[in-house]
Amino acid sequence: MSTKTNLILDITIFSVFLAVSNPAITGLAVHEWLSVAFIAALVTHILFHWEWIATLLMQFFKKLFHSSRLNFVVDSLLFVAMISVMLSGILVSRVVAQALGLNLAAGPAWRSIHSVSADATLVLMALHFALHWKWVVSSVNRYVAAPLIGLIRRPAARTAPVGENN
Amino acid sequence: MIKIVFRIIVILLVIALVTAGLYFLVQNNSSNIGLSSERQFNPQQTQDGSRPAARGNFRGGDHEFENGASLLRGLGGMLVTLFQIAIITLIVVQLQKILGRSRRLARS
Repeated sequence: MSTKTNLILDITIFSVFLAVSNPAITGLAVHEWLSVAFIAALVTHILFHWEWIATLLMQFFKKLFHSSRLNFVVDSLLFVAMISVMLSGILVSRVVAQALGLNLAAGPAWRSIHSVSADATLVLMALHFALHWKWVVSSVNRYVAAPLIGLIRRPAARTAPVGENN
Repeated sequence: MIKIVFRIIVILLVIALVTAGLYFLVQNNSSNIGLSSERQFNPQQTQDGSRPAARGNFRGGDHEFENGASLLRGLGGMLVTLFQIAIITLIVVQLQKILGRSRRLARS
């Protein structure tokens, strides 16, 4: 999968994450349905990085410490935290459960788990973002900043007088 | 194509396993400490067992959004989230830089 596709997908996932983590902006119904849809985004993200995950998993026990191992630990924790948020969210949901006709007898513990795992997801997401900072910067420079700068410069070059470059 | 389908199945299986593990862990622990009876401990539950009207408590806050979305409050929350992510990213990136420099110095 190309870096450009990865970047577009990651920006989309991050935007959805921002919307989902602030239910006040969407309202409860959209918050719940968007969270359910987020499972698809999570699966797609893992699918796009399958080779990287598989390589890391193979090399995990080879070296005692390297940055990829830290990446893998953070990513695994993020995965578990996200699943906890989604599971607890579905269990304490009102709109989704009602729409699907589910009568989920979730204990009060799930409400706390939803809050705690959402906080953990935010922190781990930030760590995930930070650990891939170099990739983020280089991809954004290449596919967002450079084309934008090119767009700004091109009209300026067109409007410049013919003899100006001499 | 088969490879992708296989990978999707593996991912979904892992999600299902983690979900099942978490569910049984929480259910067992909450029943051990006597929290399984939600009606006894959750004053929000109504008499007929149904859940009360929507009330948001995402991320531990007491945000009331039962009357629908609030753009201003939502945008504020979004900015706070972005700020938190930015702070953590900044700290980690700086730490990585310091570690990188100290490693280079140790090598030379």
